[in-house]
Amino acid sequence: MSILVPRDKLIEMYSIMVLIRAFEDRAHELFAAGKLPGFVHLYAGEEAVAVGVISNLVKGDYITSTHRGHGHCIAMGCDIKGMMAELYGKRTGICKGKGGSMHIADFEIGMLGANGIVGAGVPLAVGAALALKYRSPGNVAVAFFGDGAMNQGCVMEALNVATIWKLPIVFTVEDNQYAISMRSMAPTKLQPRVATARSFAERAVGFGITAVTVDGMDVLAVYEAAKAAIERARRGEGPSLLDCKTYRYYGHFEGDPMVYRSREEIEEWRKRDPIRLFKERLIRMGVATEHELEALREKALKEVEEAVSRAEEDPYPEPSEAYTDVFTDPYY
Amino acid sequence: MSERVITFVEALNEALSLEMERDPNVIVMGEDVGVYGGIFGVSKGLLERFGSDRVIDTPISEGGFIGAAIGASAVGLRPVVELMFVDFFGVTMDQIYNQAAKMRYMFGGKIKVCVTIRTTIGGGLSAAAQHSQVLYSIFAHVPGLKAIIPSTPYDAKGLLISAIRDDNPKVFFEHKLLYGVKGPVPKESYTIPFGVADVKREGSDVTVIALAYMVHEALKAAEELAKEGVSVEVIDPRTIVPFDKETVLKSVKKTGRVVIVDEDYDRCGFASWVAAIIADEAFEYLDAPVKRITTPNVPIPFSPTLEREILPNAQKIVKAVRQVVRKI
Amino acid sequence: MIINPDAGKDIRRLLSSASYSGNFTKIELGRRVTLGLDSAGVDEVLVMHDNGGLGEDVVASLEGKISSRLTLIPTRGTGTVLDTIEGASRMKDLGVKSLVVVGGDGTLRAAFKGASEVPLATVSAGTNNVTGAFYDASLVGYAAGLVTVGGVELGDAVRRVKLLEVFVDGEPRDVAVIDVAGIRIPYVGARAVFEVESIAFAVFSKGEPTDVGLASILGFLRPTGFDEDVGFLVEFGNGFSEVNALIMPGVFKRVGVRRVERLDVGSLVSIPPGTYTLALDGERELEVCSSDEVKVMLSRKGPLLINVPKVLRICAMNKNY
Repeated sequence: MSILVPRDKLIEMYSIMVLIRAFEDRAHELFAAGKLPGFVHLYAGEEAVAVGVISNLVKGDYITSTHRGHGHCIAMGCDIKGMMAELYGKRTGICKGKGGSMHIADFEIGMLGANGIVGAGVPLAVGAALALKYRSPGNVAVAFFGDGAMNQGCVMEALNVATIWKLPIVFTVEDNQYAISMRSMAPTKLQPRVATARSFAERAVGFGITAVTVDGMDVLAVYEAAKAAIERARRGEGPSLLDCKTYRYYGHFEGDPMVYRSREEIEEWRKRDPIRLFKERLIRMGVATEHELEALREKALKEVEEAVSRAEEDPYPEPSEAYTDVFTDPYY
Repeated sequence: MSERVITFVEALNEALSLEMERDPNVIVMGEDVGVYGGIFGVSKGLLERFGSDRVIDTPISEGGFIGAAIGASAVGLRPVVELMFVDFFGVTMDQIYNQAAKMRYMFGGKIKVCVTIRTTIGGGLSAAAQHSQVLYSIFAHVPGLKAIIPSTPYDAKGLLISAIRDDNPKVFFEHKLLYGVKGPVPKESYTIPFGVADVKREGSDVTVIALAYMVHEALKAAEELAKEGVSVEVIDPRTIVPFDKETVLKSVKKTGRVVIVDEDYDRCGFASWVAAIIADEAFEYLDAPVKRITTPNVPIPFSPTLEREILPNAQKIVKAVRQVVRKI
Repeated sequence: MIINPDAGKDIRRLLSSASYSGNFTKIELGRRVTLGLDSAGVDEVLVMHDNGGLGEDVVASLEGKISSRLTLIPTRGTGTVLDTIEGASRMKDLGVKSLVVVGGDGTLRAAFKGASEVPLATVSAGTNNVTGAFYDASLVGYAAGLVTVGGVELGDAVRRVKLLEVFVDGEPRDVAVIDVAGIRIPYVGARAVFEVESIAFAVFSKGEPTDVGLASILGFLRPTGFDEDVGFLVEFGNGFSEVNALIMPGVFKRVGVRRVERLDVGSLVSIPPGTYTLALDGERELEVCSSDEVKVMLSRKGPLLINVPKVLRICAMNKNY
């Protein structure tokens, strides 16, 4: 497996990470300002996972995502104007304002949907992998899900089915340390209750799935592990699982009072911020200068700002739109 | 078309086989559908003909494999997946009603989820509370799922072929007591459109609306009532999503009397919904209150005596028709 | 005792036949170590609080059931190697007489960085276990317990092994116990070394044919034990020799060698200039670029390793058990 990443690719990975961060930081502000209806779950802090994995995908590959799906959407190449308009519930939204933050999808580019139900995307990804194995060998599906989803029955069922059918799928656990307010594995002073009996990856191993634990704050660590896993899947060697250790900076949802974790803990994780780590590395490697990287960040901020102003001005859907798209036939 | 008399099971088997031949994207999945040929024999012989890539035996893991069928259908396959008994929907309902039913709408109409979920329904076999329900009302209640409920071998074949070709998620309900029922079925492939009710017997005094096995009970009752000089029209909606309101209302306007036979539980079910539609749109044509014959709100009991007590049947239909006819 | 929840879980499982070193297995290993320590009569066992909660499980399951007191030692819980370093350092400050790590070579190195004066023993739970040997964890615990309790002359059963000290531009930057390898990839990434073609050179303090990992190369080229006051710089390529080395569990690779240079204790060797990451004991850790002047020194300042079979044998002869 060759793991040398070309310069352009490194720059692209950085650009996507800063775009995700810019989008999420702005969504955080917009929600606080009362601009965004509904529930919003932000991905800031976890960028290395989406970008590290998705940078290995090619046309024809699929992913399924979670309620915390903006990062996966952006990394897959969803139009951020359409995404922001969707968050606003506007007619120009990527799903015509019918899905919102939790249901962004773009099948054309392989993004099979964020999901409002914890773990529910995993069987769907298995189905996509089944279709690929049958129709398009060499392509893969990736299921992103959180540490909380690891306790859902349908996820266990999906792991088993993927193994016995030897499907081209990579299960990617984003262990951001909390299942809403429950600590994922190791208790803390503020949250003595854990959601999972000590191990995610071990469960996969129990199903005969090769599993590895990955530093989910280091995009290149994720990239390499995902590359190994995805190449295996492309060769027809079956499923594997990446247990990515990461952290979400914002609450479970916007408005979460976060009584279950301390400011110090957040600061400790922020010291290993995936974007800063990557930026320092790129500069040290001579891939780009600080100035060039800062310019990329500003470009991302501008792009998000444009998406916001566009979304602000865009019209809401016509009420009659509520009755379309239930079926492929006219409404009944 | 060349017709012969075959069973309901054979008709379904032919539908699957013809569609698999026609479209390589059609695959069959489910518990024991392969080597075993389906627990009721519906997929018999398919594994041998189409191979294990297209006829997939699954573990007893409905959330996993029905979810997988839905995922595969969202990216272009046409899986026909079997939920062995509708009673088992509880372990996979999220994938059906939150995923399959809503994906197209949530994603702004840009995708198609063309999965067909075949399942078995119905009492009368002393299979007790977890293997005897019909439950189609629950599925019909959720926007985004089509619900197909055939009553004859002819309908079964044509509706299943239509279902496989339809671009929406749907649940195809097969009443267990119908599997052995025989009827004339053309050899060739043919489709029956959804949302078109079939008048199984024409009549002028009372409209009886019934589904699945209850269509046969209604026909038995009609035969009996004919001896008393009561002319019963038996309407089989065949699909409840979409629902052929026009045919029902037309018949009600003609007869002025309605009995709705529904094997589902009484509360908030199909019969109540149809009664409400009739009350809304044909009230002035009614000569008697709308009568519903349903399964009372108790779990399906095991003992044959108890089960007979609660399930709708021809005798109960006859009794109800006599009541509405008396109220002239 | 320190249990490393992350040992034996890296990317090599996807690229070789290495096993996944599971948490429940590690908890059992930790329990066996603790029972061994208890059996040897130690007063108190300090157990590091790790981010997987494994040490906590060991304590919870044995507390009150054995004579030794069990105390959990908190760390910041970063979920990184820093936890092991911090935990070892705290334990050293609290005066522990021996330290058992459940992990691989990387874990041992981290513990050494935190507590260089404390005798160490490893229970093999990593991918490459050059420093540890596959004895039952109970016996590793028992041996460490005997070292702790003392009362018998152990001689070279606890001896300081060699160390490779890395200097960048004259400044000490890091250390390795077994090997320092230059990998032609300019970033740390998934840490593990798995691609032989990317290795430019390696400096070894030890390598036996029974070892797994880079040490296997030296092991087949020129078997070298911990006891010999010698090390080697090996440059990879063609010309000098070729060996069939066990790079990862199940993965034998033919490795070409261009040049071998012998190092004596105390001598400094310059590594060829270039852009590398330096892998320390098999993990890519240190990114260096061509302008950095990197030197490696072989010294005798390595960890005080407990030789488990020797300790047990001496105690048996002295009827000290």
